[in-house]
This record gives sequence, C-alpha cells and structure tokens, in this order.
Amino acid sequence: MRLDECLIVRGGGVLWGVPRARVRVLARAAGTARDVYRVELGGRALAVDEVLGFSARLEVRPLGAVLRRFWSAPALGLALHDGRPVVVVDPDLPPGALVASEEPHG
Amino acid sequence: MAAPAAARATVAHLLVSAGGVVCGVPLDAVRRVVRALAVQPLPGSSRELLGLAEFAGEPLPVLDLAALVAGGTSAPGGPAPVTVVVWAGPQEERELVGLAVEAALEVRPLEIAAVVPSPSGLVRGEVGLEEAVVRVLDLRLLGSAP
Repeated sequence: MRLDECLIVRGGGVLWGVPRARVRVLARAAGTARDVYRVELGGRALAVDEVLGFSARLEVRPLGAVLRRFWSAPALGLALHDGRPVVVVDPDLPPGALVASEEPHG
Repeated sequence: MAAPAAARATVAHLLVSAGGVVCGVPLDAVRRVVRALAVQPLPGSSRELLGLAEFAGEPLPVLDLAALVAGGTSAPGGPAPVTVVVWAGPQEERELVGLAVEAALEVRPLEIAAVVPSPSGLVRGEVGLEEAVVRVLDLRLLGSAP
C-alpha cells in the first residue's frame, strides 16, 4: 500500500506515521523553552515528543503474523522513513501508547 | 549395525547461543547474520519482541531468541550483539524476522533421525553433540499462536 503525505512523529520512543489528511491540529506551543507540538487526530490529542516532518510517500507493508503474535496494537502497517522503521497509525484507531492522557480541566 | 554415515539424512543448521542454550537454526531459513542491528522497541509488546529494525530496505521485527526458547531474556538496552535474519512462518506465508542471539557459532550438519522430539514453542526437539545439547528450531511455527 502506498500512502501519500504522512506526518512523522516520535512518541514513546517509536516513530509513528500519521496520515496527514486526518491530522486536525498541528500547532507549536508558544512560550516553551523547547519545541513542543500539539497534534490532534480525530479530536484526540497524541502524545508526541517530537515532530520530524512530513513524508511525501510511504510504502506501507502490512503487519506480519509474527509481529501480530507479539504486538497487538492497532496499526495500518510498517514503513521506513529515512531508513528507520515507522509504525503507520490507523487514524480511526490510534494505539493507546500514542494517545495522550486527558489533562485535568480547571 | 549402524547405517553408513553417507546414508544418514542430515540437514545443515546454524548453531547459535541464546540465553545460555545452543539452538540449531535450519540453514535454508537463514537469510543473513548481522551485527549490532539498531532496534527500536515497541510499547506494549510482549517481552519476546525486542522491536523493529531496518534490514535491506524493509522494516524487520526482531525477537529475543533467549526469551523464545529458554524463558530468559537478553541483556536489556543497547543493540543485540548478533541478529540472525531468518524466514519464519508457514511456507506460503513466510516472512523475514530477526532473531537476536548472543553469538552465531558454526554451521553443522544435524542428523534429523537423532533429534529427540520435545516440541515446545519453537523447539522441535533436541540432539546431542559432543560438546552441547542443541535445541533444534522449527521456524514454521513462529507465526502461529503459542
């Protein structure tokens, strides 16, 4: 599967590819000492440590049975970005490890 | 009378050490042996899965052979010393995976008739060599449920 325009982010030590068309918010937080980004996907904030940029095109391979046996998180598949493995996120079902916990309001 | 050596069916295996045991990987399943492969952990994975690496332009799942066959684990953190890239799973759905091991030792012909069946996970059975007992792996079982 070929996927055009993916946002590549790092979260929890993993590179994730998020289909750009489904990214609702990509904003740099103001007034912070280091670069902090807010990324939202379908109304859910993602726990992103770093935004690496956009990938024009990703060749996405489905998850094999061996990987599925030992890792059950939802994903569209795997790809490479700059020679590094990327887990391509299912925008309808982002993995728990990438979804930010709710911040308390008040 | 013992069968002549030439009549004994042997299959070449790559002997590796993992978790203090010696395992035999069928040589025809071995694609390559690589050193110091950078592995990116996956959150929420079971302990047998060390993570993902890049190999030959493809993402490669890397498994801890010590955890698979000996119930132990390799030293956490850092690259695995040696990764054996193998074809795994049933023939019609085989896929490349990496097996992180402590060392790749040597290639030896193993006499299949001498393998004592002791099926457990990936292990098809055991065969005794002069210096060690070898756990013979069946990588076709790797993609199936435990």
